[in-house]
Amino acid sequence: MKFSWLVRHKLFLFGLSIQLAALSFFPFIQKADAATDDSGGFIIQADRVVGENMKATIGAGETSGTNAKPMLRITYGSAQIYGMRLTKQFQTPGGTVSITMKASGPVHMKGMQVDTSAISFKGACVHAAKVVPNAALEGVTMVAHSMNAASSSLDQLQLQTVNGDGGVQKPGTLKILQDLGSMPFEQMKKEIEKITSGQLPLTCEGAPEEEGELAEVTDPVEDALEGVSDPVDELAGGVTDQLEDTIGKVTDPLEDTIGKITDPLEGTIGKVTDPIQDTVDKVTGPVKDTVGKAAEPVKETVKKTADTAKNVTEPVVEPVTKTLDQADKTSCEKLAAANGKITKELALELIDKALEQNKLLEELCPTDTTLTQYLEKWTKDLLDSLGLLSLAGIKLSEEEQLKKMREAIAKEPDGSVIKFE
Amino acid sequence: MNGAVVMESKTNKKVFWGALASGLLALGLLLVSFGLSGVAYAVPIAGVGDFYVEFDKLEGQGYKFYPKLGETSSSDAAPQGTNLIESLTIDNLQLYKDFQVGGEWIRVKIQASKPVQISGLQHDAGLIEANAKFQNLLLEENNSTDWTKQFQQTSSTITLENAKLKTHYLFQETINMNGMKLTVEKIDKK
Repeated sequence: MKFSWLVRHKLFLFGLSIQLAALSFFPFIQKADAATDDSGGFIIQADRVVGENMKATIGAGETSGTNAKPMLRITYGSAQIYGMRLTKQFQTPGGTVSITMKASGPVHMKGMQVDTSAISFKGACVHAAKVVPNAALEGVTMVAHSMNAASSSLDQLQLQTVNGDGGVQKPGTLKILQDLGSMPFEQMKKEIEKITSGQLPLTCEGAPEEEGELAEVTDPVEDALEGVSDPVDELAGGVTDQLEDTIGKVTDPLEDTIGKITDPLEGTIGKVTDPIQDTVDKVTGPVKDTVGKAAEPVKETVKKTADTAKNVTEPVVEPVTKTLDQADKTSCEKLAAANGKITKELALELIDKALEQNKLLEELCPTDTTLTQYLEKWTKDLLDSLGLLSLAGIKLSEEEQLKKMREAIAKEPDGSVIKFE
Repeated sequence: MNGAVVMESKTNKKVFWGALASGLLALGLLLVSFGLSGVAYAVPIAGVGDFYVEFDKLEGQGYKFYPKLGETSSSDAAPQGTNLIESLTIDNLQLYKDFQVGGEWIRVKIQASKPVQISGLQHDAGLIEANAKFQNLLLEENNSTDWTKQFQQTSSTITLENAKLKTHYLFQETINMNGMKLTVEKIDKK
């Protein structure tokens, strides 16, 4: 009897079991929400941070919501923090509770290390694994997940536990860390190695083109080094476009002005030459006068317009030159900081730059003779190791040499230092 | 009426006086021992609501801080921070609580003129104001569903100077409080 009832209502039972199965997913949904919403962290704010031997690297650390989250690790040999406020918010069954730690006096830290997932400040661009002997950051706000110091002194400390969120807002997560966080763990590790070995920029306040550069660097598909040169091209392109536009605009009125001035001149000359043919001796004087008078304003106008064009062109040209110089400087700086160990990424960057500018590698850092000599030797050694030197009498063109070098280096593992046997 | 039985209870005077005498003796012995050695064991100060702890200097080893919700004189679940210090010495310690009696404010104050040594301190505070120094300071997050375990601050040593702590609960495994003085005084409070 019962069995037959079950058979009759099997559709109903099937529907019920589907609903039950769906219900079992709820805990997972909640968990997924929690993982995305709860980024955790405690917020550290400071009016000014002055420190020695500052270094930023990228790693993965534990938070209150996850075990491995990509983070920016900032270390200081010693640091003075002015106007420090630390806030940790908790979601409790009774509502939001906050711990606030505020130091009205200066805070001195030695051997400080902070792991942060979001940071905003005013100051210099921070590059991965690059030691800054004297760093000053202002208006710092960061979401930290761990902070330690060998010794610390906090004057006029006020530690309070209160209801509410403490009245602070978290800064946005760094794009570079967001991108790394969306990658599988192994890929994230590789990208981190790449960023570290290339000493790539991590945070660049107030420089949208460099933020674009950062975004390029973290693109998992694109080669990290392409990102470095792209913004320069874009910027240079943008500026050159403006330059062409400006020159176009300037030359148009110039032609117009010349046209307008020469039109009456032709008329005048035409009118004056007619009597010349009739009475040459008498009219020669007035012809000269008329032509001279008519030609003078033309000369002046042309001169003035050309000056204006030059003035307009110069300031536009300058940023282009400066930007390109800065880009070169960055590569050269990286090379200098690499201390004789050229990584795959740096080598590719240099070669790309040489190809782009149609230069030899040793011509990339013309202001630094040491680097120029080093690059010359490095190129020779690399060509030698690749068997591309003109031993057999066949010499490749410089461009082909660079391309062959690029191919050979691209095969090396990421982050490896290019060595010669 | 006939079935009514009137029960009369009588205090056994012998037992009563014996119990009272032994109790007083035990208390007297405790007070005498405390007075002689200045050491008290497992001393909680709680149930009196918020009170303030002030001192010139605290030097401690093995410090840990984490948040919690605890009882105060005005709320059953107020946010607080628990400070655990394994061993510490405090110079010029003062504990006080102000009561309003009628229109007057009375301050009950316990102070120690000599350094106080404490081990196994648990101190729940809503507010700490001090000049602080830490060795091996670490503030870290932990992945936990229990919110009180999500954040903690630890250090191998802690030094607090010119401190004022709004305290809700204080417990010491042992306390050595020489030169202790209890005073009740009238104060001007606005």
